[in-house]
Amino acid sequence: MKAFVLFICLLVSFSFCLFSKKPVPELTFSANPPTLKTSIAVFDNGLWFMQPEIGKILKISSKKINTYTIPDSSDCLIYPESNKLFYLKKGKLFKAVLKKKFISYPLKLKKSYYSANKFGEDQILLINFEEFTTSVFSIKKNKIIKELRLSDLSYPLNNDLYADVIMSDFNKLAVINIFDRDKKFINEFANFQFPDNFISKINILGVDEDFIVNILLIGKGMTRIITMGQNGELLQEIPLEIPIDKLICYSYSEESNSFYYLLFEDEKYFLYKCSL
Amino acid sequence: MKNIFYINALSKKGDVFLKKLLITVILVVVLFALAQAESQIHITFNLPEKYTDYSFESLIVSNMDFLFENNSMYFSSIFTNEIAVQDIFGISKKIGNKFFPALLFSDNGKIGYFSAVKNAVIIEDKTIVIPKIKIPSKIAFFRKELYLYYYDEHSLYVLKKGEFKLVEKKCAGFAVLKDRIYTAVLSPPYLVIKDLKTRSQLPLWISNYTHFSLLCASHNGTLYVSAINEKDFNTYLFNITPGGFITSCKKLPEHLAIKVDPEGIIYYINIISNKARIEFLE
Repeated sequence: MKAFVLFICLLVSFSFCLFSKKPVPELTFSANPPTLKTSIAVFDNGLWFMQPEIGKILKISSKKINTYTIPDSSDCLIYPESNKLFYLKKGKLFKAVLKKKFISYPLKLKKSYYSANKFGEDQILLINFEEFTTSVFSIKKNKIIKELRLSDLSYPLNNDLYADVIMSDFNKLAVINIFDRDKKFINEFANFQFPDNFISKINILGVDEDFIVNILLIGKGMTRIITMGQNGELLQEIPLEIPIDKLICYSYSEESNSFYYLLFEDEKYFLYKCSL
Repeated sequence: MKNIFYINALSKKGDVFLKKLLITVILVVVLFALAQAESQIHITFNLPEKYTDYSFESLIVSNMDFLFENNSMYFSSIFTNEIAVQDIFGISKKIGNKFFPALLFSDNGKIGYFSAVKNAVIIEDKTIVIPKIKIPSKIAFFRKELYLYYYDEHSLYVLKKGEFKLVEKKCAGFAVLKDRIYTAVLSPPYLVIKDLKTRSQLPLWISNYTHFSLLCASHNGTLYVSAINEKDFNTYLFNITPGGFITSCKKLPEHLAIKVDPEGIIYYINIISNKARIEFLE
């Protein structure tokens, strides 16, 4: 009997150790509490932590923290490889160079935008969710190159195809459809059904040259990254133990094919990495 | 029974370590059960007698309001023309005639109200006349400016230095959090949460729900949005993190009106028993 009890205890302890193994954060730091548009980008062994609403940008590495200040804005995007920053202030797009002396200037746009997203390699998707204005800004050409009729969630899969994510059935069903440039429906790429759960967010993280798509699904107890092939076949599924009540933002790095996510707990931020 | 048997059996053999381990496990289970019970505590207030004379069906929010502040429940009613307060020990009192109070609010612990007769906001000895002749659905002071939300018009106004201005159209409620005001804007299929200062936009896609209302932002940054399910017509409460992720979707019991305070305490008036029930969810 004693041996049996001991065996059970050891089994319980082992299982406890196995399941309670917490991922170790890559980085821990303190900063202002989260704002609506707090975002991150990971480049060159460093984390760019952006809080546009309070005009603060931090470059955090294991050795030091550099602080940059921009005007309070509604959203911002950073391209650290070229030291360029784009931010939206009062609906206008500003371009800035991150040097010791901060230089920025406004870009001429006809419409007002309050949300900015990376769109392909050198384009920015500018959105006004209230007016459903969606335009693509080319960084190289320094101007708006097209107005989209697709919803804001449409994602460029390659030069000709776009993907759209639609949620329905009380957020228990998400469908990804493929469209061409003229919004002509081509195919249903994938659908995700969770009858007993609620999809909090679904995002296409990125597409590689072979048309392999990484999709992030967020929901309590069901957060995962799904890798799909060009015909919608499931190639890989990585469950993520992310406490979404502490999740602030995330970033996908094509450079390292990794997914980074930022948690906020007890006034501190914790950056975690997940290799795909 | 089995645990007791094991403890007895083990103690006979003198294995103190295993006995302690088992006791620890039992204690942990008991503490966990107690913690669960703690999170389900409710306090129920009986409504003042006069209020029960009226049919609740006609006393929709614009005619009657309630507020939980300083461990007391405040009730106001146009019909009885009074504000009553009841503390958690059940002791209630009437706080004089108050010009047909239609809406209660608190500002740093002080209780204010909207007077339907004066069409003014009254807090202590201060009376602020509102140019728009209509009973608002929600009032808040923010940096000495008065924000008024009108649910049926989906509009948010501000009274600033005597000037009454429209701040937000298609508005589905607003919430004050520290030095910021957040508004919810209807833009189907999205509900867009906005920072009023910078106009930052955070879109939320919640399908098959209508009548969205941003109720409150708690101190830890959680936003509380209520909405009606298109299928069962029940009201659900969504908890939204500062990162814009929906962490829970909780069906609310049948209620007359619901409120959430900055501590994240959710409370409502039970439509059946004429009782104000406070439910602590966090």
